[in-house]
Amino acid sequence: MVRLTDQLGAKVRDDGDRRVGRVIDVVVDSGGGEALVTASIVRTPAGPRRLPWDTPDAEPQAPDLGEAELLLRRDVLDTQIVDVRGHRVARVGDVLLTERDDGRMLVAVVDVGLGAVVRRLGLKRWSAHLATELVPWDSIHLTSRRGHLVQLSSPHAALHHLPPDELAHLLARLSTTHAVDVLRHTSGDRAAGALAAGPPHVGQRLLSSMDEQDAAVVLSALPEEHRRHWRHRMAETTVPRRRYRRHRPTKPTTGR
Amino acid sequence: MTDEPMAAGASRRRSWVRRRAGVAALVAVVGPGLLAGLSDDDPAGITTYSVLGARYGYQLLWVLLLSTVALVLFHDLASRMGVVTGQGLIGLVRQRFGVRTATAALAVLLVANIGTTAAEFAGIAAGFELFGVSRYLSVPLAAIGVSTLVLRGSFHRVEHVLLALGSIFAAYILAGFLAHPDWSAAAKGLTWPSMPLERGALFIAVATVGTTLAPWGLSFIQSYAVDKKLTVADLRYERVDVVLGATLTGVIGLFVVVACAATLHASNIAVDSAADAARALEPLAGSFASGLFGIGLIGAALLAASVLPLSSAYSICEFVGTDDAIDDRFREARLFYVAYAVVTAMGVAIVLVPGAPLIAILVVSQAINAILLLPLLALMGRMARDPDLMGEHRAGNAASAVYLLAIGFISLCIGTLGVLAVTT
Repeated sequence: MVRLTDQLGAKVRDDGDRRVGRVIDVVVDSGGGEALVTASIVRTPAGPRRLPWDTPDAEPQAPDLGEAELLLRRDVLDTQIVDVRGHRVARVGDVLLTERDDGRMLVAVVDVGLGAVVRRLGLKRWSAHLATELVPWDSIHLTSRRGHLVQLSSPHAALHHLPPDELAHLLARLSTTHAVDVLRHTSGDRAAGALAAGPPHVGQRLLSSMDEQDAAVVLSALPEEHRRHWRHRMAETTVPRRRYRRHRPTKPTTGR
Repeated sequence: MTDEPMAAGASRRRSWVRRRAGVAALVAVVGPGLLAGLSDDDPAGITTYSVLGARYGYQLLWVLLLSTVALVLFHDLASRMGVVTGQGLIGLVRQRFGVRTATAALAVLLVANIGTTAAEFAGIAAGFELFGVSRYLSVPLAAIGVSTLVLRGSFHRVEHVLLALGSIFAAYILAGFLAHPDWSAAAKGLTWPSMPLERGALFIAVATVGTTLAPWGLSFIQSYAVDKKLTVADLRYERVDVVLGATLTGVIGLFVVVACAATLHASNIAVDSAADAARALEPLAGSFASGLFGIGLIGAALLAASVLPLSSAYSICEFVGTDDAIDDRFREARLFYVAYAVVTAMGVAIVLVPGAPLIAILVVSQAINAILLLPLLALMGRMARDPDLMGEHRAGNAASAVYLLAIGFISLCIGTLGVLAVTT
C-alpha cells in the first residue's frame, strides 16, 4: 500500500524531464462508493494545477473539483472522523492507497494511530514501536466541511446504509449542525428510528435545532406514544445545558 | 427529506430555539464566555492588575482597556470557530496546518498552561499563607482535592460555588469607590496612552495583556462552545455571553487597578506579597481586608486550577482526535487522565520549589503567556479567513484588519520590551 504522506511533496516531471512542480494534494472521486484516485494537484510556477493520475504527462488544468471529488490532504488528512462501525472518534494520521485489479488506485483505509503522527514528525524509529490503527474507508464519516457535504450527497456513503443504532451513534458524536444535516438527508423513518435508538438528550437537542418542517417529518414517523413524549420534552427546555463535560453515549437500544 | 446543500439549508433554517428567542435562549447558551472571562480574574490576573496600579497608578489603564477589547475580539472569534467547525482550537490547527504546526501550537499552549497552573497554585499558597497555613500543606491538598473533584465528575456542581468565592474580588469595585480615587486621572489614564519607557512598565503592560487574553482562555472557550454543541443559530446569544464575560473581567480589573492606585501607589507601597495587595481592600473591609482577599484568592485559584489542567487535557485529546472526557473511565480515557495529572503535578512542583517567589511566579507567568499568545493569535487570524473551514462565517477584510491591529499592538509591546531588555 502507498501512504498519502509519501506522495505529498513528490517532484513531477514532464516528457522532456523538465520539472513541472510538486504534488500538494491528491484528488479522489467517491461518487461510485469507492474513493478512486483521479488526479494530483501540483504546485507550479503558474499556481496550483491539476494533473490526471494515470497520465501525468497531460496538459495541466485548473484545479477544479467535480461534485463527488475530495482532496485527500485538505478534506481527509488530519481531519476528525467518526468511525461509525468502530463507535469512536479519531483523527486521520495518514491515508493508505492501494491498487485495484484494473490498475487504478483507490483509498483502502485511513491510519488513525499515533504512529502515523510520530512518523510524520520525522521520528520514524519511534513510530515503528507504536501501533497502527486502520479504519476502512467505508466505515468513516468525515467532519471536514467538504468531506461532510460530499458524503451527504453520495448515495453510497456509509451514513446512508447504517442501521438505526449505528446512525444514532453517528448523530451523538457529530456537532449539532452536522447531525441535523445528516437527519435532513435521511428518510423520516430512518431518522425517527435513529432518534428513538439514541440517548434522549441527543434527540431532544437535534429536534430542537431542526427546521420546524423537517422536525415534523421525523416526529410524524414516530409511533404515537413516542411522538407525544418528544413533543413534551421539546416543550420543556431549549438547549440542554452542559458544563464542559461530555455524556458517555448510552448503549443504543433498538427495541424502543 | 430534502437534498439541498448544507450551506443553503443552514441559512434558511429557523430553529425552534431561535423562535424561543429572548431570555430563555440566552440563558441556555450562556456559559463559555462568562466562565472563560471570569476565570481570567484569577489570582494571576488580580495580582498583575494590583502591581500595575501600585507601581504606575492610573497611567497604564489604557493597556487594560485595549487588552479587554482584544479579549472580546478573540473570545468571540474562538467561540465562533468552535460553533461553525465543531472542533477545538488545537484540533482545528492540525486540520488546517498539519501535524508539525499543530505539535508546535500544542507545545506552546502546554508551556503557557503549566506556567499559569503554577500561578494558580501560587495563588492558593499565597491565600493560605495569609491565614498562616504553609504552602507545603495547602498546595498538595488543594491539588488532590481539585483533581478528585474534577475527575470524579462533580466539577460542574461546585463550579458555581468556586465562581462565587472568586467573585469576592468584586469587592474591589466597592473598594475602588471607597478609596476616593482621582477619577479625572483615571479617565485620562484610560483614554490617553502613555508609558514610561522603562523595562518595568513594559513588563507589567505585557503581563497585563497576557493575563487578560490568556492562551488557555482561547482554547477553553472554543472547546466549551464545541462541547455545548451550540449551533450557528445560537451565535448571536453566544456573542452576548462573550461580551458580558469579557466586560466583567475588564471592569473588575479596572477597579483593582484604581483601588491599588488610590491606596498603594498614593502611599508608595510596593506589592511584594498577597498581603500588600490585600491592603487595597482596607477602605472597604478594614482589618478584614486580608481575610477577604485571602478567601477570594483561594476561591478564584481553585476554580482556575480546576479549569486549566482540564483545558490542557482536552487540547491534547483534540490533537490526537479522540473525544475522551471526564465522564469516561480511566481505562477508556487514559490519555485524558494522564494529561490532567501531569499538568497539575508540574504546576504544583514549580510552586513547591523551596523559596519560590509567589508574586514573581504569578506575574512572570502572565508575561510569558503574552509572548506565547502571539503564534496562537496568528494561526487563529489565518483560520478565521479560511472559507474551507469557516464558510459563510469567515472573517471579512475589516474584521481581519482589526485582528491584525490587535496582534500588532501585542507584538509592539513585546518587541519593545525585548529591545529594552537587551539595551538596558
